[in-house]
Amino acid sequence: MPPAQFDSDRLNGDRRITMWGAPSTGKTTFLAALSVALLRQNGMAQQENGERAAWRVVGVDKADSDALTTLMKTLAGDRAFPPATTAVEQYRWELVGTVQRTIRVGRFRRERRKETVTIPLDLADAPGGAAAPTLAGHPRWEALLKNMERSKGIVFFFDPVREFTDGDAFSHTFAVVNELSQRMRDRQLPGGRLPHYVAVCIAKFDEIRVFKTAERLGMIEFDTDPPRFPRVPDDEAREFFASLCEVSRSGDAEMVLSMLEQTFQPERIRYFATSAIGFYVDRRSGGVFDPDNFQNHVPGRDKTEPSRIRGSINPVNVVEPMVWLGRNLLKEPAE
Amino acid sequence: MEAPESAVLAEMPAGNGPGDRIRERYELVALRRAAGGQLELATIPLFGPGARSGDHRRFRIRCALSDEHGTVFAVAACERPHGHRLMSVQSGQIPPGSYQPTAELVQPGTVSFRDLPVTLREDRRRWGDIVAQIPDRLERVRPTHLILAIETSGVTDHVGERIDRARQLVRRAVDGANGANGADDQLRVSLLSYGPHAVPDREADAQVRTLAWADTSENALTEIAMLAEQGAAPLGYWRAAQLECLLTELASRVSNADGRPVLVTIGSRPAFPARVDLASEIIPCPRKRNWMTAWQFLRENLGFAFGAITDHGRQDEDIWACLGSTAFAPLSAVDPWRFAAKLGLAAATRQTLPLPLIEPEGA
Repeated sequence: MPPAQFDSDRLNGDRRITMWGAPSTGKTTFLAALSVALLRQNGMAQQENGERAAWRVVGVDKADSDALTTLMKTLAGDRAFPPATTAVEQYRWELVGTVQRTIRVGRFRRERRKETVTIPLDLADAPGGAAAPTLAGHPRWEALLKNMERSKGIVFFFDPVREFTDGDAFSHTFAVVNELSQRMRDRQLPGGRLPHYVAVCIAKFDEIRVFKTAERLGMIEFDTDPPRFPRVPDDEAREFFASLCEVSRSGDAEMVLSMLEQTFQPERIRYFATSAIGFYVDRRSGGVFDPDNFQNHVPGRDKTEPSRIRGSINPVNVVEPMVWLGRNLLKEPAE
Repeated sequence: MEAPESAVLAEMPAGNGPGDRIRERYELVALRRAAGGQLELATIPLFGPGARSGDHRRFRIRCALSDEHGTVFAVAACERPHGHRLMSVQSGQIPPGSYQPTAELVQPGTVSFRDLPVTLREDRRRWGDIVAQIPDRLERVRPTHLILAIETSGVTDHVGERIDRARQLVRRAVDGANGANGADDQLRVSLLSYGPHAVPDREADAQVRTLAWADTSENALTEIAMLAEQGAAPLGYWRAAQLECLLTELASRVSNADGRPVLVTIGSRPAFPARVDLASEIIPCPRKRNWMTAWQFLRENLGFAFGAITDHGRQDEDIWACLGSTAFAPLSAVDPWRFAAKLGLAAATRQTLPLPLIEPEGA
């Protein structure tokens, strides 16, 4: 039986995902890396069992697809970082997944069918900070809040490196969460908490200070297969997040964790240590992760030279948050 | 050959012998280094009794650095057993080096010299004043292998200035060798250029280039000139340069057979670390080389002296503190004399010799 198409209106209704975070936390890079990672998974899945993997990112129309292609080419081909969110927020992308669902056929019969679902992705926030409290009332601020209000899923980006140097995660988060809670207060929120599923992405896991922190905390596990990349297991990622918050420059980051868990339902929050560009692997010396030589991000020089990517990109944990969100959103009834 | 006693060298006008044959031996007054290092007056025989006008003789000398009067060619007549009688004193600004001039007996009492880079002129100074300029001892420079490593990528002006400093230093080392012991063959020069490793890694990784190895100073200067013509290479990875590879390669290549090794590094960037470095966050060396290990080997096993000249003039980075541990200077304010002296490339003061040195047999 050919895969049936979900009723897109019914399914898509409010099943949007908003990608939210302070400026320079890597939202656009994450999106490009997600596309690359999903494409690679597709390729591997097709090689292994002749089937495509479950998810992919697509543009809503041709211009959106072209823009996505450009982002991927910049990241994977040119080994450069895509432009900031402002340049891409006009485009519309969707997370498209093929899922197995049990549906009722007739009065008593149920069937397992492969269904294709689409989940719009909204990139929210822009450099300069629509999420910055000083910009409350700004059109971008309104757009961000509107996106979040109608979304069921949120990818929250936390950049530990930025937090270490700038320490502004709390200030970027607090006003948004407060405003969102205020706008949604008239809905019947279970426990008074917002209903969103929140994937907290601890970004830039490949950065030396982030990786070393995880290493010192004894939270690193390695993939069993080459290139044996390191990961922080998802069940330890919350503790990892908490530890990183402790070294915030402002000292406020610790409140981000409690604020998230007081605002959203804790069981609907999951933490992921992610890296859009992943770790460097020297193909000439075995092609496996080397703890002595893993930096993939080459910082630029002041403002005269942009940051670059040293080797090929190897996204870590970028698919998992989206799949987790996608699966959970599908459980939710459409409004 | 017998050394004349300076006390018996009388200042006399050049004398003519009867007829066109000479009755005494004519000798050139020169300097000889005694076993203890002291300098003493000596002579080089030119013409024996019976020599006549038109006779000539070729001989070997080495001219060291001289003062503003130049190197003195003094001819004395040997009147055994009464000592020497000064006949003529001429001088000229002759560049340091070995020479084989020809002396010609023009007529009794008159000797001319040719096959020198300059024409000699009569020197009217008192002989005692000339002798007073002779230092007690010859400050001798040990055979030295000067290794110049230049960071050739980056800002064009900076690279040009680095190359200029290298040129000055070689010249200073040559002067030092000549001025001190009159032997520039005591100096071997190597020239290497380096830059950063390729980052991102799909660019071709440039190696440390050896442009001259234990070569003559003259050839090294030619290579330096060619390097200057090539100009600056692109900056590349701005945070580090492959100093660790430079030092590692020197550790496997240098031996004391070429002389006491002196490394002068002229650059700006620090080395690549051997492994992930939390403090600097500089990308590691692709060959995982450790500059500190190599530097310690060079210092402890090969007795290297280390001079560094940097654009920024700071020694706050460990690598530049080590590379400049013997002598250090900012690029914009190098005193080549003092810098070379600290490295043992030359005496701290500029030693000059008023008379030529006797070239040792077989030199």
